[in-house]
Amino acid sequence: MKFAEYTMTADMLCVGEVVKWGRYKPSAETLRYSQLVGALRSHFGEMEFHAVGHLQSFKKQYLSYTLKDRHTDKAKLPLKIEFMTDVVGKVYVASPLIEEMKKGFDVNMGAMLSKGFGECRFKFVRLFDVADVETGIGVLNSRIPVRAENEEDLQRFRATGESTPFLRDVFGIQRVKRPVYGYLFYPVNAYTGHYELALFEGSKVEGPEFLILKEEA
Amino acid sequence: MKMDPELHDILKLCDDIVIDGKKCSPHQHPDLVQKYIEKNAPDLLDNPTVNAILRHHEHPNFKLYPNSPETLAVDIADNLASALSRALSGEHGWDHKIFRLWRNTTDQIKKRSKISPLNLDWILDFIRGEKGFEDFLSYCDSLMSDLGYNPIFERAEDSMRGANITSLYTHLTLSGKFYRLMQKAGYWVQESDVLDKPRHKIAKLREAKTEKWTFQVCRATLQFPQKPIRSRDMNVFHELDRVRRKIEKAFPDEIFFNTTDEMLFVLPLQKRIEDVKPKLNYGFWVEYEKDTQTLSALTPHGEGKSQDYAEGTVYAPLESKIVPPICEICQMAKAEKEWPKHNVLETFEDLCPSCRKAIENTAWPPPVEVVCEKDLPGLTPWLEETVTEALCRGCFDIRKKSVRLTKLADWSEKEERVKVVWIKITLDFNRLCNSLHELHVAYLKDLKHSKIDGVEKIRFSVLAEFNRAYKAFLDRYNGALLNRFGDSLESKILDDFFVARVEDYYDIVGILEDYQLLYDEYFPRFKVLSSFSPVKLGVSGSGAKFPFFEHWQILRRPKSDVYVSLIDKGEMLMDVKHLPEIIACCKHGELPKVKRKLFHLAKIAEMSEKLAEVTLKSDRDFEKIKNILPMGLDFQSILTLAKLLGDRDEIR
Repeated sequence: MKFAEYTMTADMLCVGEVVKWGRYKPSAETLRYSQLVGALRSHFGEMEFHAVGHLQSFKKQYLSYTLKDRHTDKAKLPLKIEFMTDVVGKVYVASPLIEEMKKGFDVNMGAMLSKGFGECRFKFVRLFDVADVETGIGVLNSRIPVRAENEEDLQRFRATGESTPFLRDVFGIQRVKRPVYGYLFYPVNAYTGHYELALFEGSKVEGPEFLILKEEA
Repeated sequence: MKMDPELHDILKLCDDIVIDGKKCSPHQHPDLVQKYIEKNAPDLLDNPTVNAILRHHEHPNFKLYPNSPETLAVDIADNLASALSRALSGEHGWDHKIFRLWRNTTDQIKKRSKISPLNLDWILDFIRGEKGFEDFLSYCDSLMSDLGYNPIFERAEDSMRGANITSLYTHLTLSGKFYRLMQKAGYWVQESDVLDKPRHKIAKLREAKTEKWTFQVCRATLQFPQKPIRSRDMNVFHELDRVRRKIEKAFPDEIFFNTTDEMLFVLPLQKRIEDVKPKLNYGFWVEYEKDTQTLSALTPHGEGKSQDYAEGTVYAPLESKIVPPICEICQMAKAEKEWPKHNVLETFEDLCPSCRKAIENTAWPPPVEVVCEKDLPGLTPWLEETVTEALCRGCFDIRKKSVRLTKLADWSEKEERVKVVWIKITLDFNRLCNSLHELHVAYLKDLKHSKIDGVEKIRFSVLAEFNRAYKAFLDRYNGALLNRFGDSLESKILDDFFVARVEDYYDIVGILEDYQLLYDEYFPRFKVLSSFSPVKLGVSGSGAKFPFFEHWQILRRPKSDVYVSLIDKGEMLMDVKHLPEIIACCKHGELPKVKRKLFHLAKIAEMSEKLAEVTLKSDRDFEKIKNILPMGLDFQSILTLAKLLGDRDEIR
């Protein structure tokens, strides 16, 4: 699979986790598959995207924000938002528009878009084929769905660490040595979707170098 | 008659005795002890424990050697539980007293000590009374008042200097574990293989078996998926502790080292780390690395990984797909419950049918008008909770349990801003193994040992010995914090995890001071290490309302030996070697004198860090604090320190 590498920069970014306690919105410190694909689809339209990324540098900050009830004109409970500033990261995108996307683009991503957060600039770096990238064993730096084709596939994956066709064919992950699981949202249509099992950062995998944090002996 | 493998080295605590006109150390002369028993206690000749005591060495230095499957197993277990797998070459003299690598220096052991408070007749009477290891420990404890120390904790397992690095207690405990593990694994020879066989055949058999028999060594870390935000959710730590204890109970002989979330297992091949799965409630999971090793090369640190080396995780069953809503706390299961609605319905069993129906059928919170007068008083506090959350069954159950950290709940509900600091001590296992090895080499160098290069890596007994010291350190630190904060300290969350209410962040200096005093008492030798300390302190301060999970993220992997984070203010990375100077500087040194300047510097840094750095270097007033710069504090840390100092009497 061919990927385009981009350097992503943003002044303020809040790639939020599920809202906690209704009053606190923590920010993830990685760029997950579902978030990137969702943002790309909303910008370029519905087509098959695959994307992962990780952050290279950022500063963490907090913002207390109070939503206003439009009917009563009264402030609701204050919401504390965790966000990042001066964000620099790497994003890898596979798409049918890969050639057109070479000139770079801007995408809005994450939460609090109406308040000026999440304006991300993508600067094209290079084009590469996953098959040509050196592989190694290391800690996954992003969140990627497992996407087993059937229950049998999933059981084999969980029992042996043998990659699912999706992980192998799209991202070149050969083997998962120590999985850390979580769930990512998978939109079925514009209104609904479900959560699918995913590998989270911290999983130890044998895969292409751009997906892993550090190579281990 | 039951055999107590733990008692096999009891003669090490026995005073010299004259047998057949010859003064001897009973442990070194089992043949003479046997003669003594024949004469004075013939009823004990067939006692299996006595047999294990007399016949657990196949080394030619001892005239008696294993002659049964049990005594051979004790011999092997004895070796596995020793500090070194083979005797040290060279003569460094003997010393009964343990040399704790993390604490002692060779200057402290110039005088030789002898620890042998028992006599042979007492030991034989004790065995005759069919008392076990636990009774023996109680007796040793009772000797403390006379001796001033507990002999089993202070007597080294091997009295040869250089090898005297584990206590007899640790050695005996581990020997018992290894013995039972061999039994469980079926690693047992036939009676005919050992009975009436010459010594060299026993030695050969032992060698062949220990090179063939294998165990799995597995290091496992207990993890939780919850992201606790409210004080009620902090119950997850209590549950984590309970799960850990349940695992420890299920694997009494298999666990050789443990902290609040980490365990080192030695497992027979029939057992698997996956066997912990039934104990994993609430979506907890275990991360592990394991290797299969022969008994002759059994080490705790997974060096020289075999082809069986594997890493992995153990999870309870997971769904491949979850239809929304997903649990807001763990995000690992479908949310089936709504908080607080379902809690009210489950907790208030005697709600009148109309109130129950109204709550069930309306969105939370139900209008007050639909609640009857009888139920209203009980429900009022709940009706004030307007935020609803979708939770899975497990997280709902944790949330439903009564709040254990009541003080924290109280602080976080107060109107005024209450400041809290979270304190966590962590232990880096890999670094610990390397550090202990480095200190052992240093000890042998001091003793002028000839072959430093060939010194073997740390074994299970040294780690287990350290484990006891570490737990004692944590206990004392908890006491010190209690002393310092009194009612302002919440009851401990985990053995290594605390939270206290502070008046201002300057109180952190006190927390560091307590830590430094105890660190110097328990682990002073870690300060001479070439690398970072394996024991780390993390302190994180914020308002009590600040989401706890963020503190946990910061504290679980501290960035330095001593790490302080003040939310929204900055962080300080300190080297434990410089901690006393930094504390002294904060309390009596130049720092308070330039506090105002530093505070202004911190304000400048909020606008431009570069400008602040230039100011620091060019302003003559800061000449005074130049002496703290060599203490390993970077610019960020100095600024955070300034904010911490300025917090007591905030300069405006």
